[in-house]
Amino acid sequence: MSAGSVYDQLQRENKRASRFLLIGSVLIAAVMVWVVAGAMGVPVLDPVIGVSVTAVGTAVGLLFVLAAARSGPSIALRAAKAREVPREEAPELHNLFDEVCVAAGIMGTKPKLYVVDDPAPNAFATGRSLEDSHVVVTTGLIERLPRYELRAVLAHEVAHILNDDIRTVTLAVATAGLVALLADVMVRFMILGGGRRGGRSSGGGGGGGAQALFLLLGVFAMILAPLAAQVIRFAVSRQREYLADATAADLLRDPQSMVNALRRIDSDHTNLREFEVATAHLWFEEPNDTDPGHGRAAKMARRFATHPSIRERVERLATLNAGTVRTDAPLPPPPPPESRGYQ
Amino acid sequence: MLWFALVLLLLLVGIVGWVVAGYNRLVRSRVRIDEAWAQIDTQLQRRHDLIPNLVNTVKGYAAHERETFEEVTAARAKAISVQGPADLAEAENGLTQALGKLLAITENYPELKADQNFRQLQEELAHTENMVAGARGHYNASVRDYDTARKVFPTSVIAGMFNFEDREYFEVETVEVRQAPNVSFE
Repeated sequence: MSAGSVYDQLQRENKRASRFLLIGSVLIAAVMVWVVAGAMGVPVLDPVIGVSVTAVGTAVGLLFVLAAARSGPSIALRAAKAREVPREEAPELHNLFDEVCVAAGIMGTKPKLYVVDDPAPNAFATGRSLEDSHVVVTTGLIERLPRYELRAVLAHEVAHILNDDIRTVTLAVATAGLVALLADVMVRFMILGGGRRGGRSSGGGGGGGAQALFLLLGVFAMILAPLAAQVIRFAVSRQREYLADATAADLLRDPQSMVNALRRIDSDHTNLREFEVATAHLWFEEPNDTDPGHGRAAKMARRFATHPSIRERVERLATLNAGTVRTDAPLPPPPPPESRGYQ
Repeated sequence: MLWFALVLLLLLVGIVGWVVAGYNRLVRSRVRIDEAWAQIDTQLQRRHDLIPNLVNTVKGYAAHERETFEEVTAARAKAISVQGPADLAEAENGLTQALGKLLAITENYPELKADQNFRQLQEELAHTENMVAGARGHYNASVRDYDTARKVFPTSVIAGMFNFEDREYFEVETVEVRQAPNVSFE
C-alpha cells in the first residue's frame, strides 16, 4: 500500500471516529435525560411520552450547550493566557507558519498565531472552523526547537484544523458538559426534592415505585455517565494525535523533523505552568507528565490521558514512513538562545 | 400509471441532482487548482525578485565568478519568460541548479558568509524555497484530486459530458534538484 492510501485510510477512520464520538455522547446525554425525567416523576416508561420527552429534552439541552460552546475557543485562549503575536515580533515563527499554510493551501484563510509565555515546549490549536481558527505555541517551544522541528509542530496544529478536529472536539466537550450538567441536576433534585417527595408519595400509587427505580438508576447514571463521556472523549482525542502527526509529516514531506520534534519534546520534562484540565486535550503534548510505570494508578492515568505516549507516536510515524525515518539518530543541536530574536 | 410517472419523475430528479453534484465537485476541484497555481506564481515571483539582490551581494566579494552570475541571470530571465506548468517547472529547475552553483561558490568566501546582509538574504532565500516547495506540493495534490475525480467512475461520465480538460503537474524531476535548496541553509 502506498503512503497516500494509508493516509486516506487514516482520514476515513478519523471521520468515522468523529461520528462515533458525536453519536455516542448524544446517546449518553439522551439516556441521562430519560433517567432524570423518570426520577422527576415523568411517566417515561410509556413509549410515546418517553421517546418524545427524551428527544425534546436532549435536543433543547444540546442546543443550549452548543450555543455556549461557540465561545469555547476564546475561553481556551484566555485560560492559556495566549496573546496574538505580530510578525515584527517573531519574523521567523511567522515565516515557518507561512510555509506550513502554503503547503496546506490555506494561505487565504490563515489561522491566527498566538504565543503563551511558558518554558514548557507545547502548542495547541482551537477554533470553530477554518475561518475562525487559532494556533498557539509556548515561548519554550520557540526557544528549544530547531527551525524544521518547530515547523513540524506548527504543521501538527494546522493538521488538527484541516482534519476538522477542532470542531469535533469542541462539540464533544460541549456534550460532555451537558452530561455533567444533567448529573448535577440529578444530585440537586435528590438533595432538595427528597423531603417533599416523601409527603407526596404517600398519596401516590404505583407511580412511586417506578420513580424510586429511576432514582436508583439515577444514582448509577450520575456516577457512570460523566465517566463514560470522558472515556469516549479521551479515546477519540488520542486517535486524532496520530493522524495529526501523519498529516503534518505528509504536508511538509518531512517526517524526520516530526519524529525529531516528538523525541526532543519527550526528553523535556518541564510542565506547563498554567493549564486547565478542561483544555488538556488541546495541547500538542499532555500538559503534565504522567507516570510511565506499570502500577494500577499509572494504568488508570493512561486510560484518562488525552494523548498517547510520545514513544507510541514516534513508532507509528516510523511505521508509516518506513525506510525514510530514523528514530535512533542523535538529535540536531537546539538553536542558540538568542537566535530567534524572541524571548 | 400515475405511480409509474411518479417513479419516473423521482428517477429523473435523482439523476439531475447527481449530475449537478458531480459537476459542482469537478468545478470546485478545478478552482482549487487555479488558486494553487496562483500561489505558486506568487512564490516564484518572490524568488525571482530575490535573485538580483543575492547576485549583487555575492559580486561584492567574488567579482571574478562572472560565469556563474551570468548563468544565474540567464536562468532567471528564462524562468520569467516561460508559461505553463511543464515548461515553467523545467526553467525553474535550471534556475535552482544555477543558484546551487552560486551558493556553492559562496562557501569559498568566509567574509561573504559573515556578511550580515548575505545571511539575511540566505534566510530569506531558504524561506522562499520552502514556500515554493509547499505551494508546489499543494498544487500537485490539487491536480491529483481533480485527476482522480475526472478518471474514476461515476464522476468520469460527467467529466466526459462537460469536457473537463486535463491539467499538468508541476514536476521536479531529479533528486539533486529536490535536495539542492535545503543543503546550505540549515
